[in-house]
Amino acid sequence: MSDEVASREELLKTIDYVPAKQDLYKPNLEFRPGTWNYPANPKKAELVDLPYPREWNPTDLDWKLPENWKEIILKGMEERLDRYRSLRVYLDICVRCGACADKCHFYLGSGDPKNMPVARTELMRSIYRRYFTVGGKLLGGAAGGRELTEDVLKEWFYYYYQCTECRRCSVFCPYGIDTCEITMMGRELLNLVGIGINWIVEPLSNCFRTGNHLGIQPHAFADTVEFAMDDVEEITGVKVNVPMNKKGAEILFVTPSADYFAQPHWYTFLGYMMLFHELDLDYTMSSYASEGGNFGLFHSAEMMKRLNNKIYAEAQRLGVKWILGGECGHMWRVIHQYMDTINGPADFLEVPKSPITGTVFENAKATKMTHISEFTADLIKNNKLKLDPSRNDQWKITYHDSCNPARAMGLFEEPRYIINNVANNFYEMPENTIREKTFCCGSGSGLGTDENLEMRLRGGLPRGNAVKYVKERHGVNILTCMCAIDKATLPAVVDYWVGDVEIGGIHELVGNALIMKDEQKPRTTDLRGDPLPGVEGSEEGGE
Amino acid sequence: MLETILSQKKGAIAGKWLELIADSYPAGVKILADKDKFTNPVGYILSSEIEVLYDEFVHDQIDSERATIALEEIIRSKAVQDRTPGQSVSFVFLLKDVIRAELKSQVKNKEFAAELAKLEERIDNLACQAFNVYTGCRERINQIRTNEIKRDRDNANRLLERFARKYGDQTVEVASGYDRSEVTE
Repeated sequence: MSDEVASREELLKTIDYVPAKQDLYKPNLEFRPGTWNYPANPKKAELVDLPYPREWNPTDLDWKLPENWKEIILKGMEERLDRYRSLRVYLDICVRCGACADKCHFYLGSGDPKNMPVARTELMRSIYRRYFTVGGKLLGGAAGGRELTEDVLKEWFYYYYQCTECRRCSVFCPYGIDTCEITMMGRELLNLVGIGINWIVEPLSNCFRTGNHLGIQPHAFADTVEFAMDDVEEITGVKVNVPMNKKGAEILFVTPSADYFAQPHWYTFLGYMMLFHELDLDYTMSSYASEGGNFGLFHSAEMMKRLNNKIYAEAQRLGVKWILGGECGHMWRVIHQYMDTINGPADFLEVPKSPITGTVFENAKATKMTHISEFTADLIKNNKLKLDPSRNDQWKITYHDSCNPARAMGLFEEPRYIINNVANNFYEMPENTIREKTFCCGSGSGLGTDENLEMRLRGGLPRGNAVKYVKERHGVNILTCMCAIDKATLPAVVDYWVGDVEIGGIHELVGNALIMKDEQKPRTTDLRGDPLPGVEGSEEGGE
Repeated sequence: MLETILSQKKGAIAGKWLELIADSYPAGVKILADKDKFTNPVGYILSSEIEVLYDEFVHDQIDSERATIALEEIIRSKAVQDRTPGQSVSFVFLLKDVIRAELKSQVKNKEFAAELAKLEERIDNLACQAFNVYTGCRERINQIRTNEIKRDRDNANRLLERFARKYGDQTVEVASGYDRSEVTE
């Protein structure tokens, strides 16, 4: 019997230490649960006339593609190569220098070589070579081309929904190739044959029909705003009023719907309302344009245009002078980089001018839409706000530059200026993880859903790692950011990689510090309802 | 005796162990190329924590708090990657091969046989601990998933509760599974 027992060495050889080696040109079709998103609900897709709505499952062999899928994809590529010169240039000029390779948070977190931005682009570039270049047409694989097969399409689905379009890689590319745009094109092409994900299609469909991602109808939206007004009154004793659909108001305020629905966004929403009340601002919210976010950006240029148009149509209908935007991420990419060419010029509006300080926001001349952190920083700079930073002493704060305000707008200083004026304890994360080099939350561009949690945790590793560093070094206990997706998804990221760090918004801190003239008695809690430092029940105790 | 040799040969053994672990990443991934703590967190953690783990191992401290932290740091990223549970903890066993290769002459010496057997037993125990840590990571992921779903539900319930206060019970009936006792005044 003993002769039949394998030796230790033999047994060891049976242990599979090493993951299978990957061939970059061979499609990877292993879809581990937790790493991909559920397909679009056909009913939601139909509501916005998306092509080939159907029930299908990424783990099935048959994705129920239309018969002429290959023709559709190649025609779609041809149209986009023609329409976007940038796409053709990006596909042609990469010299594979590798500068982008280790800059992607998904690559760093997954260790999957196909997540190197250069390799992710190669998934499409190989098809481009095969079908759209002379060398590829003649020599095929020898010229770096490959056949377009269903497996290639499946791999596109896997990897183009494993890029959050954060554009960190583009910061390091010596040629300025924006790999995010490759992902955008990949998703557009997939959507042409009805391959889309529900976390994108449902919000955009809801937004188109009811005004916001969550599908909250106008009366319920008005109610939630009313509940927030009640909360402000309960905490501060001040009754604030939020005008709704008010024609002739000076400013239309648009913010992501999560601000008036989810936590911790809610506290930021309270902060906005307190600030506007204190300024006696002539503004309005809109139940038609009740969403700042634009999931169309993650779907196709057409959907982005349709959703963005609602905000401007409403601004025109209400007759406002300009638009103020809340703490959102990708809304600002749409406004700053696409709005003027897809729906502009917004010449029925005026260049934003602060009614309080008289500052004209020349940088918003084209879109007539100003970011709330620019607006608030200007108020503080001009001494228009009375602030008590000690009301944020319970927090040791760090700031996550949300990708789009940072890389798509260059909005680095204003949030920091605000934080430093409304709080006493601010600590930066390391230089190579912030500002234009900021690491993504790992859940942007429509990937922030629960079925995709493991992939999100992979993507969140570098950000989590930097947060852990400031937590250990300075005792940081809150990570602030100004993006609704960050606020929704960073709790999971810090929970796994760091632990015991809260997530909050900039205007939550503003609301805490803001001394309101109508306040009759000292505040005892912060906007979360937790006792302020020095007050009975707080960690520091008190009388 | 073997322990002294293992301490003396720390650079060679821990270095080789680290190299083998780095080789377990897919082709094309140079996990140790960038030494920066923030731009290459996985590589940095591997380099620093394998050294710590080796020290604890040599000094028979594999169940120390520091050894557990080192295992957690190393395994946390593996637990979310495309690896089987076995592939996530098997890096511990690689140490056996490295020690046998590095101590070739001593291994043949019968004097060391008992000591070597004990060392290998220690590695096996370390592997068991690694598996506990891996399981802990997976449980954490499941807890986070549950928390996320709960948070979504709580967001909805919080508003439903307020709708119920404003409009009465009619609204609440729309939400299945909602505990109505929570909204009674």
